[in-house]
Amino acid sequence: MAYSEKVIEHYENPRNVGSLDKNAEDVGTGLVGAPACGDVMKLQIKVEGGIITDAKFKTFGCGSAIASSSLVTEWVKGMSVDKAMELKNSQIAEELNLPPVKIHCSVLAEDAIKAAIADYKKKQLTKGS
Amino acid sequence: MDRDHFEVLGLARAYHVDAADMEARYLALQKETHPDRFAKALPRERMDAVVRNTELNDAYKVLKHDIKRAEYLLKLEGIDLGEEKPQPTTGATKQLVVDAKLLMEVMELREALAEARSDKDEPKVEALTEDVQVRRARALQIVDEGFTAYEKGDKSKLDAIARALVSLRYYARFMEEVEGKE
Repeated sequence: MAYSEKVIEHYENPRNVGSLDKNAEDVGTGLVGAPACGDVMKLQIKVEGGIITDAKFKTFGCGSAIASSSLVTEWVKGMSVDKAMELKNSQIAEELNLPPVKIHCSVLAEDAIKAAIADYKKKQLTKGS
Repeated sequence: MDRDHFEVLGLARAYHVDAADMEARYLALQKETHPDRFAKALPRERMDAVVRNTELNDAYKVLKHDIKRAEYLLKLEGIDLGEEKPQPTTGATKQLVVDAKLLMEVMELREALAEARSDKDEPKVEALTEDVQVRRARALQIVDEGFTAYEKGDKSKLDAIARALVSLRYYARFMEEVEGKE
């Protein structure tokens, strides 16, 4: 299958690959997977004063899954948590020109950022208790 | 009208099958429905034969493969693991949620593999491969035992089978990565 130029660009030069300390109070971790294709995606955010100051990902999967998570980390940096929560997979798919069979990769990336935010919020609730 | 793959081959719904018997049934039906036999038949009969022949080939392709047969059986029981290559229109179908524990396990294995690879640590790559083979064998055993119960009318193990089959897909991806396949 032919990947779009943007997918290839992210695949060859993925942004923000790596890990943040998943036990840190200001870090949220989202770990999601697509059973159909056997992909696994980890997306982490570091939050300071309601703003996402850093984002890292590790994805083991196809080029579109890697590009989708790379793009999301790039987008959410500097974004407020609330704004990041509104990210839609359709925006990712559109930006990367994903073909219909690869839309599920962008869904996975949306799930990952939402899971990371949920994890961060959960930590804030239990903080200091 | 639509027959399931087991019906097409005249088999009972089961994971444990006699491969030789299945092949014999396939070959016999293949002969019976082969388009060459209908070269001089009425258009209607010829069409029927083509449909039956296609149905037969589709059935055999799935059932002769252990894991595909297992996944198909679950699908017949209403548990869909999803297509490996999702179709454009299936965006709305519910997807099985992957167990968080399995995801963590897979992430750790894949990270360890990537690390061993970049360190050119071949013994470590081999050790990880063996580790995954053991996990794979364990998952296959769960599938085997689950279907043994199923074949006796006990459907309580279907969720466990589904989880094992999902993990098998992840282990297969791991092995592909080791072998350098895309």
